[in-house]
Amino acid sequence: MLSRAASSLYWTARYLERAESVARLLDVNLRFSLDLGSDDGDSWAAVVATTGDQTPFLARHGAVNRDAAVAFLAADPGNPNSVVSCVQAARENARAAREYLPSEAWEALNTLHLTVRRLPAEPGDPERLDRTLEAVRSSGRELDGLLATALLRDEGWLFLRLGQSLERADQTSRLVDVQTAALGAPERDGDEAPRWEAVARSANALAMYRRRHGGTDGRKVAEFLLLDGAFPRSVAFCLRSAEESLRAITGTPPGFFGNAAEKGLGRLASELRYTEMADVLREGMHQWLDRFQARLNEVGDAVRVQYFEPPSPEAPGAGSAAGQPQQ
Amino acid sequence: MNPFATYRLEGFHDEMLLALGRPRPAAEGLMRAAQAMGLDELKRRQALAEESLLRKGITFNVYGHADAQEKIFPFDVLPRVIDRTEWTRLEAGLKQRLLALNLFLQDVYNECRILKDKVLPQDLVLSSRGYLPQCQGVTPPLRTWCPIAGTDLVRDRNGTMYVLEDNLRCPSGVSYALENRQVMKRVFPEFFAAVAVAPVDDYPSRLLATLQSLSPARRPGVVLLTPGVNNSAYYEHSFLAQQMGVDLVEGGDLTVEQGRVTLRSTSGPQPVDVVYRRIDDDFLDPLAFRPDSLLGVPGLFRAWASGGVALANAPGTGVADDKAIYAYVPAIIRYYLSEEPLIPNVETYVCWDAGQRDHVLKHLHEMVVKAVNESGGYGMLVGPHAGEAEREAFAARIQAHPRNYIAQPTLALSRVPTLADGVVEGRHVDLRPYILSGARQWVTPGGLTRVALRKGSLVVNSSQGGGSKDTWVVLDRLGGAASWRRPAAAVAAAAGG
Repeated sequence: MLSRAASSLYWTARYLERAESVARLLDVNLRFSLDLGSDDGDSWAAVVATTGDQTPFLARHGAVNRDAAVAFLAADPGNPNSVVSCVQAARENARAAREYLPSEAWEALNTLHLTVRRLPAEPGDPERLDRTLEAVRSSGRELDGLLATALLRDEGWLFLRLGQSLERADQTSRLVDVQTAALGAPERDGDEAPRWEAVARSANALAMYRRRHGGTDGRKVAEFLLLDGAFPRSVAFCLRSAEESLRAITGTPPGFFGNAAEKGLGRLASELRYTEMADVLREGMHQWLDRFQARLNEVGDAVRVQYFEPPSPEAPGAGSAAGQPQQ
Repeated sequence: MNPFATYRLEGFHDEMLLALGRPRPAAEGLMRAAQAMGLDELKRRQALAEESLLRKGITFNVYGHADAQEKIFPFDVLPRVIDRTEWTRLEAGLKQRLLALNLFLQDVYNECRILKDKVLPQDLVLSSRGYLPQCQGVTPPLRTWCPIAGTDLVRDRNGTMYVLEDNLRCPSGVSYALENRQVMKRVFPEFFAAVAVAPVDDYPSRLLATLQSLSPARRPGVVLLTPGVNNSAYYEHSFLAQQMGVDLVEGGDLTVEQGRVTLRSTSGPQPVDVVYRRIDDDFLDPLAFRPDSLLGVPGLFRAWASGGVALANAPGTGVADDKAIYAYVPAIIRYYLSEEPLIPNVETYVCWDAGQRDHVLKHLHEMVVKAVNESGGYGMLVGPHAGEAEREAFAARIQAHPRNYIAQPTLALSRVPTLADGVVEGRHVDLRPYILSGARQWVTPGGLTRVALRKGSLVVNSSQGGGSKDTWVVLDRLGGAASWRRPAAAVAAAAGG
């Protein structure tokens, strides 16, 4: 398929997944902070850190508090990872590859864009914010359904799934990473269980976690989110699904690789298959996650170079600056 | 409230009404349905229709509006109705015209018989900005230079339909005609109950067949070449690509090697046989035309000229829709087809000709003056509506660059009942049918009706406050209760969503 269209579909899926992750993160932490009864700067600092945007946040807002964090993550068009920006980017990318999508999928995405765009820059009204975040999550499900039932199972589908899986792996690993500081850190007061439950909820994983492990334990939650082979948002599961998509694109049989992207992804996915939580803890969870994130980024770069970039070095598409892939 | 209670004809030809309270036969069912619905319900449904268009993202980009860049193309809910008998005549006239214009293009870039026979002044043709000397000696597939045309028709006060303009380069708007019909069916199903309307949904498959017929390959690779997401017609480009199931490409996605065009795909280069290009000639190929163009494909022109790829439309068609050449189209039809034109031209004064120029300058206050190469309602003077200073400025421009201007009498364009400012009033319209010329000729039944939404305005272009309406070619009139007698095709079309 057309390289530029493949890139647009891949980035549509990534941005949509990112929008959903940020929406879920916001939602869960809004509720979590209600329990604490005060404006808990620490937990909001962790939320901002999850998205990896502490530096621009602090440049803009100085200190972390709830209202600033919510404005920054939900509605700030200047933050490329805000819900508004991600939905906008997903929609712009889909617009550049509309011919590959069923009409209803485009309409659903466009409707979501119109809903999210109406959110004011300072989302003071909690009900409205709640409805908007809910719309992001439910549109994600609607699009999943439409694509599952109405999209040709050709390369377009595979690139969408590749983008979604890689982004989901990235988001889940970030979610865990931010709470790793809390794992057994003595200076933090009280019970860590509510925080880990919030983490699990952010990945829509709490009920499934309970079925698997019962009571809340930080290490077990981390293990579930990183390594569980049967939970669809776990990092290991997402990497396996990304690997399957990529292998279907190239037609390479399992156990072999045809290019750098396949090699990097294959190695990373198989390493996760042969990793236990004890291995992670031996290395140190934060160090392990750091190394994992770096390698996941390398996979993303390799996919871009292999499939999306023009062979000769030239300025990226002059006619279509808006919505170009960016990270 | 009866939506037509305050309606006035004001001396114009009305597309819906013969006289106040008396609909034209083809519009009877529609008018009854609209009256039964009432004004408030009509307004409510108008809002629903707009919401639906916005959700679908049926928008166009307005240049110079950074903030609200995407706008929905304003849509009016009262369809424009065309009687079947009249349509049959118009359809034949449009086919005739495009047949002649394609013969003209082939001739003017090859034998130049028409110039040698002095039917057209050679200087006028060769000085056209749309005439591309690079095209001399080229014969495109099927000898068809313009497979896709969008001809603008207008009706005068006396009821006569004229050709106002031939759009032979990259005519746009067809997607709005198709989407308008979809929206009408969804929002006003009862309007369709009493009439059989010719379906329009098969345009994309006709277009694809036309494009495929330009290549001898058994399964030709077809792409649609767009300037990109920031182009004003991007919605249409993506819509047509999606509906045809072909790739929507930008210049950077295509490469020319050894006279063949390939597409950069995830599995390496793939051959392209036909390019439906929605990029102007100037920007098509930096090696052949504007060297600063980033939108085009280097080498595309030579690949086309040597037969390596088909382009629709071919480069150089602009010479035939130059507004000065337009004045000679009736002569062109007579010359190549030995037939009288079935649809007349609007009387046109070519300022390049000294005698005609003098007439124009003396009658500027009653004429519409147009720049020969502009479109979209730019570069024009509506004499009766212009101030003295504006007319003088235009007179000076005409004298300085006579080749650039033509003038036509100001037509009292026909009107259609339109929901504007909360009431139903008459608004001026034109009509743009789309004519496909490939292995066979085909005309969209109806096409795009553009309406000047500003009261009294004669300019229908979307960039100048124009909107559009659904256009119905009414095949048959039926009693409301007997709708089961409709032909099967029309029933299927009316039920589709």
